[in-house]
Amino acid sequence: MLQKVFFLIVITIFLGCSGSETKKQNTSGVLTSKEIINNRAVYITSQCYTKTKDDEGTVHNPCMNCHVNSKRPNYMDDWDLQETLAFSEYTKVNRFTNLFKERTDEVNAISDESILNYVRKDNYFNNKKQIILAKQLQNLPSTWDFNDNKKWDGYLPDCYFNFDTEGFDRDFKNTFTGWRAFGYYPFLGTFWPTNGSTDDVLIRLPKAFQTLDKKFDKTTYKVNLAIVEAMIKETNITIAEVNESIWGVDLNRDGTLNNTRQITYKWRPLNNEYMSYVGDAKKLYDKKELHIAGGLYPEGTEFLHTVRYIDVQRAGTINMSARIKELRYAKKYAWNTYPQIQNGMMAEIKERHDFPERLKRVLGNMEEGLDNGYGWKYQGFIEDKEGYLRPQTYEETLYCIGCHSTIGAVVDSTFVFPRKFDHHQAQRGWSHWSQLKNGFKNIQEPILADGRYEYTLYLQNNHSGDEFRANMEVMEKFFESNGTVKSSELEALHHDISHLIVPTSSRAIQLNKAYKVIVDEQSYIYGRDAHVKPTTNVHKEVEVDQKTGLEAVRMERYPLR
Amino acid sequence: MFKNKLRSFILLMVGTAFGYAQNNITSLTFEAIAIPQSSSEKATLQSTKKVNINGKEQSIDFTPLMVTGHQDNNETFGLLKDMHDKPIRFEDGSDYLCNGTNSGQGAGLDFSSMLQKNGKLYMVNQFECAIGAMYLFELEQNLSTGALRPKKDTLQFVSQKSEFGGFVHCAGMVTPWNSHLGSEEYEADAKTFVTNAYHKETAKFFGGDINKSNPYYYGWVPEVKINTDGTPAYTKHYAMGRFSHEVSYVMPDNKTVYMSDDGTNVGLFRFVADKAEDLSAGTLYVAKVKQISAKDGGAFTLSWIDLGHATDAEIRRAVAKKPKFSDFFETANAKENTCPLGFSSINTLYGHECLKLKKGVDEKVVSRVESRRYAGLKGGTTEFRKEEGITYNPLSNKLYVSMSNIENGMEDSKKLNQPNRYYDKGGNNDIKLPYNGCGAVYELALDRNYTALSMKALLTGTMIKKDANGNTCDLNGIANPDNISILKGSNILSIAEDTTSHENNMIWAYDLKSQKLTRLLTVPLQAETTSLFWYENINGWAYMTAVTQHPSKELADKGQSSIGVLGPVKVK
Repeated sequence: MLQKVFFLIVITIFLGCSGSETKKQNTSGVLTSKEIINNRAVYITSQCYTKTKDDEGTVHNPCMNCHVNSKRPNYMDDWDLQETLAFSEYTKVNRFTNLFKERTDEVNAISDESILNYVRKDNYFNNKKQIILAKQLQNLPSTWDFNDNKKWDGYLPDCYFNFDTEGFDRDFKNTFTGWRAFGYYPFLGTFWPTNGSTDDVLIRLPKAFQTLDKKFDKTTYKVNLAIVEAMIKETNITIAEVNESIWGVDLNRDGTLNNTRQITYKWRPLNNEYMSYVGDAKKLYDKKELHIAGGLYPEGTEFLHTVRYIDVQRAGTINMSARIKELRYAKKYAWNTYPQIQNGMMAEIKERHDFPERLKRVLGNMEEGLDNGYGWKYQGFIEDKEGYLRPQTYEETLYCIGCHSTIGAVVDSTFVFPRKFDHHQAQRGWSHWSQLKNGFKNIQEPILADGRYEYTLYLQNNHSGDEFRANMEVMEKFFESNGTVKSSELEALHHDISHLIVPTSSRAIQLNKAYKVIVDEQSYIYGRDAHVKPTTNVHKEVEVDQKTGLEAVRMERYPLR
Repeated sequence: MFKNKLRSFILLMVGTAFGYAQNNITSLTFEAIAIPQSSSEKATLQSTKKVNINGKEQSIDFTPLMVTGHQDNNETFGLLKDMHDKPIRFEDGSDYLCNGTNSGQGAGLDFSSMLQKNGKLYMVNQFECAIGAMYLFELEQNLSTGALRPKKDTLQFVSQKSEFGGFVHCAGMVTPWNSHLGSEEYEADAKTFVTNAYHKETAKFFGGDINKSNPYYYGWVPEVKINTDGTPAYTKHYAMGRFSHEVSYVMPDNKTVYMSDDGTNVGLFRFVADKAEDLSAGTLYVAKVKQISAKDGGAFTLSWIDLGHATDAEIRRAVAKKPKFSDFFETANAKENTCPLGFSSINTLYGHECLKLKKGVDEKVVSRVESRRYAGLKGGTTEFRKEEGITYNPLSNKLYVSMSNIENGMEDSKKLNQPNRYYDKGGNNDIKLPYNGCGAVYELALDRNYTALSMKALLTGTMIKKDANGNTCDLNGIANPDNISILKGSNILSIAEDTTSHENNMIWAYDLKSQKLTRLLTVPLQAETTSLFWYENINGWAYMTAVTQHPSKELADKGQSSIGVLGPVKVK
């Protein structure tokens, strides 16, 4: 016993991890504990508590981002939640109390220089270019070992953020890791850098999608990724010219095996129109070991998402920080057909009706990830008090599950792959933000499938650039005092999204500091949104089933153009 | 009673006033199982392995019989079909199987009944999807070991196309005349049905055309008998009323049926058929309760309000015309809790309403298509919260009804113990109990005509501060009781849970005499237990059926819901 205690202390010092008690004690700070400390319904995010009416009687609709009419096989179609605060007696209380904290003193105590040094300090690689977190997980501290089997059974970080000109990640021996970065239109509001963070997203398909006759083949992998893109966006995808006869798959559906520059989306199984993957994945698909369907990723798809601070390089430009706030990971471990998904979502609707007080039951744990109920597991790593990445607790990860499961805005529980840039953008859309010299500059505003400008629609309905209406910078730049959007600014936005989504240096630095305060407190479960002043446009408690005063905005969203 | 059981009754010449003691059970105890501790115990089904009957110990186990998706005889167990009995397919080309996701999210098989007919043993199974489905297969019984298994090449689809298809089939029972008495739960509010996801889903039954559907098509009691050639004979009993049918339970007179209504602010109903073993015509009643105690789950006296007589044929004629809510009622806005002159104030599942019967309307039709609202208009109690299982003990002539929670309308203008007028506003407020989020099982005393005269809580769950595993009801007691069943001839009341207040849902055996509660079975995480039903004597063997619904993928049956039996228990 003494030995164990000694071991734990050593680990704590070495890793700087915050838990020094054994997990059996189930108290605050124990990473492996499944005990909920603050919020059993933490999957209902802080944004959901926003006041939709202001003192002047103007209505604000940030709800439309997530709760919106949806396309099969997302059967949630939860646009009605824009109109009604469908909370329960438990969930009506906003437990994201960090929103209401006054952070001015703490923020002022951090100098600009020290926060910039902090965000520029890499917490992913050590100076030997080893992935710190991976090393720790391979040398697993008992305080991180949920199932006590002395090995890590979750995601082992294996991305080197070392991208070639096609967005493929390679380790430092130049070997493909399978990860591929892509550019995308940042999701509305919270995910705009002006509201606190930069981020990137990478996709990886299983080995069989990367190989032709068991050998890695980049062209095969690229075509498979394009096929997945076609299935998710449900549209044709332009690719670099390939010869279809390599795989024996008529990608452009012209009836012959020839050279093509297009994956043609023609998938209507009820009309005997099918699509297929290529290479070794095709063999598995033919054996029914892999599946394909519009709006769904194949089994084994992985996503990696880093959320980072905002590095301020030169006046007016921002970059992703070297320091990672959060490393988020998802893997699709099981296929569900349309009727299975529909059944699951219908049962959720009935459960909410039968037992309105019942909270979502989410299986899983911090080591193996949390199950979203629809074939995906989600897992996250977040900064510990010393700034090193550590696994998120069950409660911290539960925060992810609400959005990555049953809201109208997701496609197979994901947000940004459907928002991926097409071939007109740099590196044909397959680029990491770090590869774009001009960042978001001159990237045109996305246009919804129904023809409307997407960011503009949000600004017009939300009358603000963030869900909490706390981003005064965007407020002053884009809005008249009466809340209407300045048409001149919209015009600029149409041609250049950076006009809206990139903060000034001073705002970026403030946001970094405000988030650092939360890191210092390790108070993520009370809210991760960076704020200096207490937010005033958020309910501390909502009235159950109260009307929001909004008329639901509906849209035909994807494919964006 | 089952025919061959009747025979054994006569041969044994053992009996009580109600004729149910043919098993001659003098003592019956089950070995208790422990609360699942390890993650593997929590992820798998755990069941009792020993039963002691009349002082003799027997080994028993839980055996799965059939899993959703099983294929036999060119049929797929749980496949939903359309108005032409053609399989329904989704845009991705997948068959519409009534089964949840591979992560265990969703609805599936809900109740299975074992029927003895034609010298054979059949199982009728009903599925809980928006478009309901029923399947029938034969069981083979090993007479020396009692072991059961499905007979190959016997799976049949039970067509419901003659009655607009099925809908959200929930619990059921085996009638004394060996038929499957099912249910259609979660009926759409005919006033607001257009946006109801379950109603919209019925379009798939009609080839995608929602205009061919009607909310009044669903919310009834279906019955399946077995023909002499082994094919199913299906009917829908419109005479028994339309509400959120959880279960209909037939009394030994073969005429009286108690019916539970699953929802918030619902009624307790009783149907008395004109003729024994024929539920196609009869009189419907709703309970009016008078509270005499608020202690320990409460006690009440009951009176029954007559909602009139009707036949299946009369009501079906009206339903087939695809009526609208406005054909039956005029509505008005309430002023606080009062209604304008001429309108009645009721508070049901659909909240507080001011209603007036439309002039010239056929009240008989209204009493059946809008039974709960009509019951409210006639003064019935519509304050129960999630009435679930019903069962009957012939040894004591007592009826049992489980109530998932004591909350909302069952409280006194409160919700979860906080002041809230929503559920009692404009209603009777007959029930004024303290909140109990763990629920209760009620015992109802009957007269010789099987009419319930009083009702009191027999067993209540105990709320606890949430423990480290997320339990909020005491693990040594019940939580949100759902299906219940008496092992006839014994004093064993089995209680299944549908709860998130116990980490693993459980099935309990409660000894009505010793008042001892024994844990019989626990189901995997995120799974529910349904279809709980005791068969006291099938050729000398007793069985308890149970469905484990939407279990998590760690279970051996890979996320599918399956029907299985606990047993066999040798009773002769």
